[in-house]
Amino acid sequence: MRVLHVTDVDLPARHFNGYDLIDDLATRGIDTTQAVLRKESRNPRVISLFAGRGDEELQARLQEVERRHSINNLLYPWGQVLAETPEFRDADIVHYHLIHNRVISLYDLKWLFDRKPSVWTFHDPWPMTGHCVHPMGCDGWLRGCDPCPFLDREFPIVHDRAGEMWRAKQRIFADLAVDVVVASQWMRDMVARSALTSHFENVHLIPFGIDTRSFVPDDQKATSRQRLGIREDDFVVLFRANPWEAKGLSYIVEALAAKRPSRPTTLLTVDRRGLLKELRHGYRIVDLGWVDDDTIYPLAFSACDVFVMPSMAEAFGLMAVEAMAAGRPVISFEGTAVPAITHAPECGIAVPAGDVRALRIAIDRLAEDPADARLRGDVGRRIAAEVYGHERYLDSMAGLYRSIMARHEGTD
Amino acid sequence: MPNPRSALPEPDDGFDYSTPEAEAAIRAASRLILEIREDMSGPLARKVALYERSLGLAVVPVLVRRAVLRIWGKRSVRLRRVR
Repeated sequence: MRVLHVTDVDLPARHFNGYDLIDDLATRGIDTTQAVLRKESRNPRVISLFAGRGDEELQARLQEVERRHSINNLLYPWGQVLAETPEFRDADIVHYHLIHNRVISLYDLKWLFDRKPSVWTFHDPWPMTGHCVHPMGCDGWLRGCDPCPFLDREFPIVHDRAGEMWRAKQRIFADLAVDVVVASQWMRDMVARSALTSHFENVHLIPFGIDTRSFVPDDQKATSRQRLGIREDDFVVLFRANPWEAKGLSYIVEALAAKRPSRPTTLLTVDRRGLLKELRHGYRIVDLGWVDDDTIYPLAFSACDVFVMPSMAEAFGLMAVEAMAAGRPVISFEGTAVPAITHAPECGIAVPAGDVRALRIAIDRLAEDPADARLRGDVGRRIAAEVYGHERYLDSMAGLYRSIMARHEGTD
Repeated sequence: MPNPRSALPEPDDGFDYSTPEAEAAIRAASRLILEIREDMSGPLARKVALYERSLGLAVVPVLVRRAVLRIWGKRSVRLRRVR
């Protein structure tokens, strides 16, 4: 069986955009390739739909036209380029991923899906909204996004065409024959509630998988701290420093600024540097910045005592799963996929969304009760191995592809 | 009057992108862009003029014009303005 994965770029998001399946699905007898706009790897099984610099410039112009006209993912011609590739022609199944990152025009979906049995992973709620990637508390997506009170949310629009885009999706999706994959029950619930997607009959809940063996054993915590320049006896809070409102950085900054935990504390961050200036007098801060090295994340998780993920929007929460695999407790906000992914309250701790005081209390609780933190970490490590292992993910994906092929062969 | 080399048109508020007509227009525009992309030796101005006459959608002729002029603009191509 041949499966072609389609997404915007290969290496970033490789854990869930199909790239990491390219070699590994071969062990399940599935020949896998990937088509992307921009190829960063040297993997010969990845093809780029861009033919050269002219296509990069065309993409930039189309993006500008869409921005000025307040439309999303309508003008891009790459779906038609995709259909002309040998990889598409030879594929038994085409699996689409982050195609709303300006890869495939919504207008090309039916045309493409009618040509090949198709799988579409909804990586976020964008298919169910008029323009935004995450509604974040707005329930306009249930009523047609007309009017939209949050035009500046990703993907931002200048004029309010959210209702128009919502209706375009409604008309287009009504005729789509596609198997939808979601990674969390939270996303599955959204798909079921949305008037745009509730009619899809084949919706599969398949959590993403990670290689749980890549995480550092717990007895090497001191070594990990030494390598990252962190004091051995500090209480270490790890979180992602990203200013996008969906990631909730402002809440953790406010929580930590209001009152320091009872123990000397290091704040360990990944992603952006220098976003914690107001905390520098009360805490030791280690900003790792954007990390491309796959060995650094396991070190960071190993070095921390707690991972805080105060996102206001998460469709899955891969970093939370990685923290669990490393045996670290996770604190999150309610209202996203993370509480269920982390099996709160037995394993993870979830507090009301935006409640800074509750967030601070949860951090204090784990600082003052290392035994509880350790117990939650142990439970998380076991859940990660059982539920989010890479081998299980491979089995689930292979099983899905085989069931789709059997269904299509039965109807041919 | 806006300069097509330096400014994009303002949104056409009368155009509804959610309709089947919009879909047909945009998909035709994509095909035209790809045709130009594949075969630079063809009569570009004729292709664009044909497109403009058949669709009349504000954004797309400008889009095509800019694709031709700015991206593959090494050729000397003169296109008729429609707005």
